[in-house]
Amino acid sequence: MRKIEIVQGILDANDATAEGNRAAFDAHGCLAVNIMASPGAGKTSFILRTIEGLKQDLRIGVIEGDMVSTVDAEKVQGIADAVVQINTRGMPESCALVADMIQVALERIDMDSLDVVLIENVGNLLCPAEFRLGEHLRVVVSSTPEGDDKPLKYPLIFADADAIIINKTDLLPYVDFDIERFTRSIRNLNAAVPFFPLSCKTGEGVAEWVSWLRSRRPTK
Amino acid sequence: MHEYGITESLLRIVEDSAKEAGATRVTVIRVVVGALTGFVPDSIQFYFETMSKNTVAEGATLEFEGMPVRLRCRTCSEIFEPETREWACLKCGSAEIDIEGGRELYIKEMEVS
Repeated sequence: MRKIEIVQGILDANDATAEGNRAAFDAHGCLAVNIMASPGAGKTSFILRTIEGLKQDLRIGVIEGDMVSTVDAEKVQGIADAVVQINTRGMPESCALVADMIQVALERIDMDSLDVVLIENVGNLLCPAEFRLGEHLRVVVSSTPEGDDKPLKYPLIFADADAIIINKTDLLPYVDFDIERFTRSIRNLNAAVPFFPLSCKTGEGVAEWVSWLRSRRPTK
Repeated sequence: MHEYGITESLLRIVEDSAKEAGATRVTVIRVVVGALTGFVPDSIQFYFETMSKNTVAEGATLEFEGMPVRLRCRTCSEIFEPETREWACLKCGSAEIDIEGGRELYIKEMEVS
């Protein structure tokens, strides 16, 4: 009997694939955005609004992660320039997208003809936080009816985010959501992250988000 | 729910390391899991039992070592383990912190023969 020291990260393989994806995005000058949220926070509406704001002069691809359905992909089809659906059921991971899935999706997308790739992760605030996909930006969409305590329950996903969307601001008069409390608890973990309060229903606040996103594009 | 892929990666590392060490049997695998990760040791154990069949790691015991959440105060640099969900520095009370530890997921060592 003998001991061998290993000290190897179990996520190293995922991270290596993610790095490859990132290099592929970079090689095509494509900005990749990983959009994470709980179910029902409005990821798909948010993607539709984002495409609307970008499509005048930019070409948008969408990678849709969903456990079983193609509901989200159908909504985006026809509006985006390219859509790839990944059904995660039956895959090793069904609760989050992992780098391997993005690698496969990228084989089905012509990145030369795209400027931005929006990745809709599986609705879940826990698992997607663990897996890098090769994205440039990690965006968390929170919605006001979910309550302002989500950052306390799922600190990791908020701590690593590059932008936080507060969706459904049109419902603020009807729900107990203290924006100040919400933003403060995230700032405590992630001092520089920008917040974009908006309503995908009314369109209020979307322009600020879109203009920030544009500013993050690589210069070709 | 995402432990299947994790277990697959774990097993691959174990098999590679065993081969490298010229081991014929792996008896114990020690895995470090941070408290902030969502990984459930019981699920890893469940998948491991099936996936390790007919490998060098069949029958090995998985031992999990938890790592606590460790935070660093941005105000006074104190490193502490929070006692509640409201993360505030135990020394100066500031809530402005960086996550220092708790997101680990790695294989520390194994025993082989």
